[in-house]
Amino acid sequence: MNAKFINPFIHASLNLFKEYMDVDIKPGKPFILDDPYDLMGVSAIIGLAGETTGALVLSFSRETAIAMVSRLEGKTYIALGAEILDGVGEMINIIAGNAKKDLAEFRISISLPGIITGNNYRINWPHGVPVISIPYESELGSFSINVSIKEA
Amino acid sequence: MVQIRSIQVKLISAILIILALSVFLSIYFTITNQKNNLLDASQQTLSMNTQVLNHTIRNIMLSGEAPLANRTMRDLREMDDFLEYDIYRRDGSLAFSNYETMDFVNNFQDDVMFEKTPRLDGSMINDTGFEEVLRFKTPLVTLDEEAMEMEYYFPILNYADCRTCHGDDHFIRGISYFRISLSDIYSKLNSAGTILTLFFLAVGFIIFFWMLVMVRRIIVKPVFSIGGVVSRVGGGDLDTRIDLNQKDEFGELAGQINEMILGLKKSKLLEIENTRIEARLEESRKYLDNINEGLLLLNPDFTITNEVSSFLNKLFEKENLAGLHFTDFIYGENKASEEQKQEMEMFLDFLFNNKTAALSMIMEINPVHDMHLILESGREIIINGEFQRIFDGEDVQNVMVLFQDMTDIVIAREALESEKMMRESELEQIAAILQHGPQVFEDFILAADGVYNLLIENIDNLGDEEILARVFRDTHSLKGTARYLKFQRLEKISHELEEKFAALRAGGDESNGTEGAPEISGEKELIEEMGSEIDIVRKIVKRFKNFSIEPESGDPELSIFKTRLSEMVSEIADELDKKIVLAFKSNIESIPGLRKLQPALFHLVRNAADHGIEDTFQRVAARKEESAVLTLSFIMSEGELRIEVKDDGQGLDFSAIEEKAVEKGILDAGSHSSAEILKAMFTSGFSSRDQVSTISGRGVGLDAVQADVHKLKGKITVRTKTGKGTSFLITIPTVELESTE
Repeated sequence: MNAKFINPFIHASLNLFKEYMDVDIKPGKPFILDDPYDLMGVSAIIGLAGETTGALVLSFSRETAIAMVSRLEGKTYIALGAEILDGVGEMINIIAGNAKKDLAEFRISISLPGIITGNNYRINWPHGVPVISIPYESELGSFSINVSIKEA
Repeated sequence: MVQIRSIQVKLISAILIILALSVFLSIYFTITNQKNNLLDASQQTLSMNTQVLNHTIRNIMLSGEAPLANRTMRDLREMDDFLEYDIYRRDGSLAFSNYETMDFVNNFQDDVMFEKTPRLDGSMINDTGFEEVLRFKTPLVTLDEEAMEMEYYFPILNYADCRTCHGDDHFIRGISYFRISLSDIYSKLNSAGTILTLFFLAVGFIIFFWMLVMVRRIIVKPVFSIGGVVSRVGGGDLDTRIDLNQKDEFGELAGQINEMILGLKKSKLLEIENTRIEARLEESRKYLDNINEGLLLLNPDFTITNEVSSFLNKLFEKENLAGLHFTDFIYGENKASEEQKQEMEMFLDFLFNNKTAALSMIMEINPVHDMHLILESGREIIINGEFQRIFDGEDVQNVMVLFQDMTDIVIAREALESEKMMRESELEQIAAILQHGPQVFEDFILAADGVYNLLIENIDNLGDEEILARVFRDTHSLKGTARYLKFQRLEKISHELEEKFAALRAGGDESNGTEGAPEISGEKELIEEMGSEIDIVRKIVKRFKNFSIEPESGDPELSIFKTRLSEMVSEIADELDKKIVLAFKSNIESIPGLRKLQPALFHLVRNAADHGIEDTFQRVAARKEESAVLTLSFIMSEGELRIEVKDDGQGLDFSAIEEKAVEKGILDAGSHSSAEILKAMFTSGFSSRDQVSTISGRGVGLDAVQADVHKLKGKITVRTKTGKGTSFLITIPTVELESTE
């Protein structure tokens, strides 16, 4: 679970929120996600492969997702529809694109991000590796960045 | 709308008139026809009846039964329709009104053929019809429509049979006169007429309404809708269309009008476009002439268009750029290699034609970045070029290039950098002095002065091996102290000098004179720089001496030591994404012989931070606290100083150490015990540095640490637990530390 693989995504995410969307972000203490179901309403997944394999999941509560996409696009959405999922997809694309630059020195490839939503879904994390969840508080709501990777 | 209505009115009236005419004509014609036919028919009947009657009467008369004839006639008269039925003699008198004929016949026959019977009352007939029939001896029918009567005059001719009795001197005996009432017929005609009229009127109305509906549907409604749309178009709405589905001339007309509207719309849009384009062209020309940036537009063939900002002309000191190829424009007079020109072409090609790569990636190979160009006039400029694609649908129509004159900026930037460095360094020194008091710095200045003087004295004697060795050693240690005290510039100068000396030492055997000459000049400058740096430090220190600030309580050496150590740990932590808290523990105020232990302790702490402690995510994954704790404790007891460097990291990785030892040839292949592996770790050559940097020393490893500890007659042990941490324990007898060796 090397910070050098994870930090590019954290930095890219924070960069997106702080610089691009002008949202104040406060990180909480990272902890191990014991309950694989404990993910919020909308999740965006980036898979990693190469020198390390695993997944990075940006997880938002429904309200936060709606508020974030509204801020991102300058519109006001009130329901979780296709536009929200598209908006979250946009955000995760930007994050992945930015993180790619910092990961260029390692042999890591990133998958096309995927978005899931629902009440009770479970990500297929890699076996034998704990999932670290970093909670964040923002003016638009709470979200978490969850990561689980292992050396290939 | 009024027009449409009047057409309706016109049409309606026309239809109405036509229908009315036809209805009435039909009625009239039919009725008249009927009447004539009826009349003819009744006339026929009548004539036949009369003939029958005549024949009957004649035969009766012939059989000599005149009274019978009378009686018959009387009965006939009683019939409803027979208003009058008489026979008149040719002289106008009523037959059987007197015995004249009887007398004659009796006379003629010379016999009393007929008995006298009662006579009828009669009168003379005197009218034109009678006279006419008398003359022409043909039946006559007269019709009195007003009285609804028909008169029938039937001549009774003097036939051969009659002559035998009546004589043969006349052709016509008399006239039967019938007057028939036609009222029945007329009433029948009337009722027929009424029915027919009603019938025709009804049919007429039906036809009328049906025609009305058809006219409305086929003509009026289309005309309405066409009219509506046309008026809307007149009002400016070019988006309306006639919605007519008739497959006739109206439908065609509607289609043609729709096309016309479309055409109008298109031409209007074109007009608007044209005015807009013209306005825009004007604006862009104004813009190009007034902006304070170099801007030009490129065609897909990489030539420059007419759109060039005046600022650009000034910046490049060139007019008439239109049509020039971009690469020639940029590299024109400059000595650019073929390779550079090719790079530019490739870049432009990517910009215009590559649709798959993201713009940011293409920008990575933008050659116009801090590009130095020498203009025709000899002036040198530094420019940045930003390239922006301008799309026409899917294709890149033009590329806009925005030039920024960086010359002044770059110069200013560089000046600022060096200023900043100087200021920063000064600030650091000030901060350090504030923190630790000027004493330490005064000592340093003394030492630095010493080295400086040595260098000045021996600058020409560097050929001498011994002197060179001494000079090298002193510069090296000055560098270390300068680093320790954070005199970055001095450290840098010392390092450069040290490098030069090392090079001299290495190549000194061959060249002992001529080779050395160019080297010396470089060193001289460095030495002079060193001198001025030392002066600066001296000045600062002098100023602070006047403040008479109390140094921190406690041993300043220890506080510096602690500060430097914390800084090193923070640096490593930041670099490697780790969170490390450095904790100090000691049961004494000052540590004797700290200076001797300093390098070893630094090394152990660095190792722990570098290798022992995991990054934040690894720690969280292992369910540890995000922040690692590195403890450095000094415990003085029972005549010895116990120093522990403890971390709660991942512990020593024995297999990795074993592998490295085997690699370095310290251990042979195979498995080894932990004790063996640990011993290998402390062996010289285990950690050798291939590169020399200003941070690390030369080949300082755990072997050096052990050597330092042993020099002080001390011991060093290691305890480690995988996943939990490592602890290095050094014990040194106090007496050794206190000696001022």
